[in-house]
Amino acid sequence: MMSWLLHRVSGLVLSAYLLLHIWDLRAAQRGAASFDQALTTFQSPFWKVMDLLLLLAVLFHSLNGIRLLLFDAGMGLRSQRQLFWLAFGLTIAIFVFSAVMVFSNLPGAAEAVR
Amino acid sequence: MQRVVDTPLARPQQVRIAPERGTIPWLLQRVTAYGLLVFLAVHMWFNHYADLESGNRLTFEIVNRRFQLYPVLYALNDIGLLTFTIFHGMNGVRNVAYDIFTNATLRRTITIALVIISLVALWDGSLTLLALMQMPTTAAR
Repeated sequence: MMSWLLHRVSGLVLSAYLLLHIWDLRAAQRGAASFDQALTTFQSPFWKVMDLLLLLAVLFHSLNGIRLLLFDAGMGLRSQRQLFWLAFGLTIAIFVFSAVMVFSNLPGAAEAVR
Repeated sequence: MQRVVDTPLARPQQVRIAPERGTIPWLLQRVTAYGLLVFLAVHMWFNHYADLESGNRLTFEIVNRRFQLYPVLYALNDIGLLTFTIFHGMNGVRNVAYDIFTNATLRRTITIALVIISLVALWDGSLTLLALMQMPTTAAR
């Protein structure tokens, strides 16, 4: 149930993001300067946090999706619960690693640590 | 002890099973899922992570230059990614809508709306890809 719900919620988030991503990349159609300005917007800490939340949705949806593809192929059917926790654990582990990488590379982060 | 009675009702009946209408979207959802694992990995690596003398900032020129390195590979990958994500995403939204709503008219309306959104997104995304691939880099001018 939890896997089913999280897969659907993350899928909806990713579908909304997909349309937003196609929309914001339209700037390329107006030329290089416009595209670069759009990309600059996404360098701010706020958008870095949004990126991380996006990564969380991508990680869970894809890892749980691989789990579902395995079931379709008749594999792992007796270990559904264990595979869910494996997907969930990997999601959290990669997410935490990425968050540390992103925040330690933010402008000013190196000075703040010193 | 039970006795098996051979009556016309007890005989196996020939039942014609029509293919379910949802089979093709179900299959395509799986096919696009497999494709996305490849397309997304290539897209993320080459467009966002691979460092081609770029420093940390991604710019139009860098994206454009990368497209010009292996134009056929990137074009095929990103066109595949665009098509597969739009289908997978919009069909996924349709699946969720079908879980929630049972009214046939509402379901049909949602499906039509999602098809229109998909076509617009595909058209607009293709124009963006063309712009990123075709414009000359600043260095080439």
